[in-house]
Amino acid sequence: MGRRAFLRGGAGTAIALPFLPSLIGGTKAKAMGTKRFIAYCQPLGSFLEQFWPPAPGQSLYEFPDLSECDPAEECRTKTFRTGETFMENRDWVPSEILAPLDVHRDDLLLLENIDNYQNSHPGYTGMLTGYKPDKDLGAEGPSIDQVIAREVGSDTLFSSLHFGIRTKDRPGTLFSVSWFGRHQGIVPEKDPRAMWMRLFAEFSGSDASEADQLLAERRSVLDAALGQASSLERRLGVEDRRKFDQFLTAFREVERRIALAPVACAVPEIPDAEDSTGGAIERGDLDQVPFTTNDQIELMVLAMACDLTRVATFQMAFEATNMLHPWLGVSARWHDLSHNAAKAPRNADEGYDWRNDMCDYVKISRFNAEVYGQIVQRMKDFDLLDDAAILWTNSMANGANHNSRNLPLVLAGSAGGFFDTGRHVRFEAGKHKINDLHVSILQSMGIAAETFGAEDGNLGPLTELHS
Amino acid sequence: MSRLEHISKIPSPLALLLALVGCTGTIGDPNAPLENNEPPVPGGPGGLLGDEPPDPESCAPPEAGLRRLGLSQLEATFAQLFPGVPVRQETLAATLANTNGFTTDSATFAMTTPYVTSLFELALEVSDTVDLDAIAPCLAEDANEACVEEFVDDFGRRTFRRPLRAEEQDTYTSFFANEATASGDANVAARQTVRRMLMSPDFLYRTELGAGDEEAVSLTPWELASAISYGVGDAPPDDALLAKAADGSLADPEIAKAEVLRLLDEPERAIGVRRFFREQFHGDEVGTVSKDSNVFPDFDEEIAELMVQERDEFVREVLWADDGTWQTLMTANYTMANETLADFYGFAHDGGDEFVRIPKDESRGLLGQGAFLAALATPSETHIIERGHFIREEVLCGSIPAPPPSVFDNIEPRAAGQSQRDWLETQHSVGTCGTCHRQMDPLGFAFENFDAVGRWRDDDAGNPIDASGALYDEDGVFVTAFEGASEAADVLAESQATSQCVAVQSFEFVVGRAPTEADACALYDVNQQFEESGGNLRELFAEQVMSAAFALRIRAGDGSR
Repeated sequence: MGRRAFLRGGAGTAIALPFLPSLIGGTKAKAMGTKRFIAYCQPLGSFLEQFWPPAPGQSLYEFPDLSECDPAEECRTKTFRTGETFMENRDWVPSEILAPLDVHRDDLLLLENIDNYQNSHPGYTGMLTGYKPDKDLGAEGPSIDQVIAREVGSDTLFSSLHFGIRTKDRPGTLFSVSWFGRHQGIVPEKDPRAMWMRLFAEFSGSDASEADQLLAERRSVLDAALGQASSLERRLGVEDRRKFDQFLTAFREVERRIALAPVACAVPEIPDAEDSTGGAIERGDLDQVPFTTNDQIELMVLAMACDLTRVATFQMAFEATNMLHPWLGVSARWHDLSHNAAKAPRNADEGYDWRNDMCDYVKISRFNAEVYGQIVQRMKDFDLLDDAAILWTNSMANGANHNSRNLPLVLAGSAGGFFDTGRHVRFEAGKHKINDLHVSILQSMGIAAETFGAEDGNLGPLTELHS
Repeated sequence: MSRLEHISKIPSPLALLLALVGCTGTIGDPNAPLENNEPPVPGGPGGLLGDEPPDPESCAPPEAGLRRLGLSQLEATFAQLFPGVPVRQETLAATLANTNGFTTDSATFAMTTPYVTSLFELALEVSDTVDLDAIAPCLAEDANEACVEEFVDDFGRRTFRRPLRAEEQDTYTSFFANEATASGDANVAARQTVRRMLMSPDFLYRTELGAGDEEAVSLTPWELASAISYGVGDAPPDDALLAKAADGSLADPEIAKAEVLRLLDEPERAIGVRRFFREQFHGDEVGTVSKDSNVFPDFDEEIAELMVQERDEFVREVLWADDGTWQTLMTANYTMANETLADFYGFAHDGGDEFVRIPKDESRGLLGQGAFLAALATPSETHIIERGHFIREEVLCGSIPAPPPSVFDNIEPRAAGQSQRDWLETQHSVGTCGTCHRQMDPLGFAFENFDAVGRWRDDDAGNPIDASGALYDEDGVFVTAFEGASEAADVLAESQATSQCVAVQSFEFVVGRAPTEADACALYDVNQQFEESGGNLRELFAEQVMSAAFALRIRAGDGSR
């Protein structure tokens, strides 16, 4: 069997079926020390009192009995901070929101008291770039996944892949977490069938020689374009020639990558277009979100297992979304909930029960923990977790006032032993921006970085996390 | 669209605060001269339009070069080449450089690896699925040499929007022959040829290189056809226009004008004109805002989308059903709505999904619609500064410098029960805030009768609305006062600054680059014609592409070889 042989996926009606690691035949994918990075990105903050485990000696904040909670006090906490000094705890008690992650506790780092570089909604673009974005144009520089992709992702067909759930079809400060470069937002793919087409369609059913032929043909298309370009280039002035260079560079890079076909790999079945009654599945529909999420995770992890890519972002909705969560029994809007949950809303005196909002908001946060936990679990199933770093990040910290201080951050995987996992780590409050965490992650990927993003966000890597 | 966007249009308390503190003058007495010694805020339509004709010596045609097709232009081009083949916009948008300029501005696009990857995926998808009978009918009967030549010639001409050069014709024809031999299937060869052409820079860019070796050259008729069609129609030239290029008659200004007027005659063809108004006045923005459901429980995504549509339908109505003037666009005493939207605003409607004229008088024209009033507001309140800032920058082509960050400290929070207007006036009368805010706040005041979703209201935090506003010129000198949104619209519509602004901005949109001083002669001529036409907007676009400089280029750098 040739290097680029593809197997038909096993049985399958939907891709939600478990993929057996034994189907992954290649050696490249499982080579020791192959680093991988995933960022799971959610908007609209969290309810920090129910997110962070209590420090040793403190008791867990009671939930859901909030009847004694005085809106004038605890519930209006502007910035939730539990400590001013460094602390670490290996025996952390799962909070309401983090409970779904307890099974992965040995592989996790809970990262308390790290601040986003940018406050409020634009923090969505700030969280992976470490810059203050322009509200119209977006990021000032590339996001961490793109920096990693340029190194770690240079030898795979896709330098990075970008998955979304009910995301927007255009880039933007509130719509894109990943930025190729300054003002160049990346639009995630929200349709798992379309993503399947990108990843697997061409190879599905091909034998090795057919696949080889296909790839050669693709390269020749780009060759021809480059030939056509050179005759055009001769007619250009200096300025336009410089701009046109971009075109040539990008084409050569795409051409080079086509040679980097994946190793032998199980091709999954395409996600179903119709349900069992023959009705079309609208994957953007709200009631499809849990299933679409599942499909997207499977495709992302399989793309990693097949070494089609080593870098991915996964976006749950977009910033300031008003997405509803009917599968959780939550019928209020996410953005509204984020504001209302942790404070008595303005119309509390009209009999408005803000405690419901708090419960709903916590349910949504917990759902995001479950999605993240599933990504971690699937990476583990394919024996990919230990060499990976999987970050769960949020655009803001406290939803109530859209504060950026003390982001709810979790990192999974030790990136090949670089991180000392299994700990809840609390930094000195107000000291570190997320830029420092990104420097550590870059170093864990084997990239010799000392700074990331905006200059004034850097104190250096978070060596407390390193092994 | 203004390049200077200092104040967040994302309504947030932070933005309000930023806007508040970024000023360097006083607004205590609205008629008082400026106190500080700073030069007046530069503004107006880029300083490129004066009362006197510019010195012809200072003007010059732009440089010859390449223009990358914009996203919507590329979509339209695919749609024309492959009718019925859906092109997923997301695929094209996979990576996109954002821009403060228009989407037609070629200079702001970056050709990145992800973008090329998505173009490539699209080319593969389209070439695999296209109905070959539609683009190469002779193949099914007999794929002989003549048929292949005809296919390459015809499809190549439509793809590159010009006839293939002899060596290109040879290259593609022999490629086709080799592929057909190798695969034994002419259809395979045809699809391979299609994807090659789609990935060629001659498809992805359009040239403005002209012909000949002189220093100043005219665009070729083919280049002119594309420049006209993409400029006004946001789409590739159609068969009729290509025919005028083929027989050379497009070089005749009368024929060219007739073609331009043909494109402008129908709203379905003049897509670029409609896109201009959407981009210049941020018509899509209201589609992305959300409102506090406790305050506005009936504002949802559907209403937001209908407000986007309201604006589009209104522009279409004014330009193609009404008198088509700038004045009417600003002051029409109607808007366009379907039943759902009319109900939301509280207007009567005969029922149904049809967008029809809804008469109204309290607010008029572009600035009386949700696309302005609801877009420039916080989730729960109006945003006086944002509204005033928008009018100053997008309607008057002024510019407001970024607020100095140091002035955060002096902001007093708004008191309970205090109106926003009262609070702003208090804040801006102390210190040096007035210089800038005189350019914004008094414009925004006039719209205070319209809440954060664009509906009429009688009070702000229990205080009766004071909707008296004023227009100051670029030097901060009082021009005139008005009462309420309708009077404000009347004043703005009559102001020469606003019609000059739309003339300069549409120039930038059509030529796909920011104007420079070398364009002053063309701008002056266009504006003269615009004024003589009584402010006719379709005429304005026609003049843009008919101006002498539109079809002229000078050789750039060492590219004359």
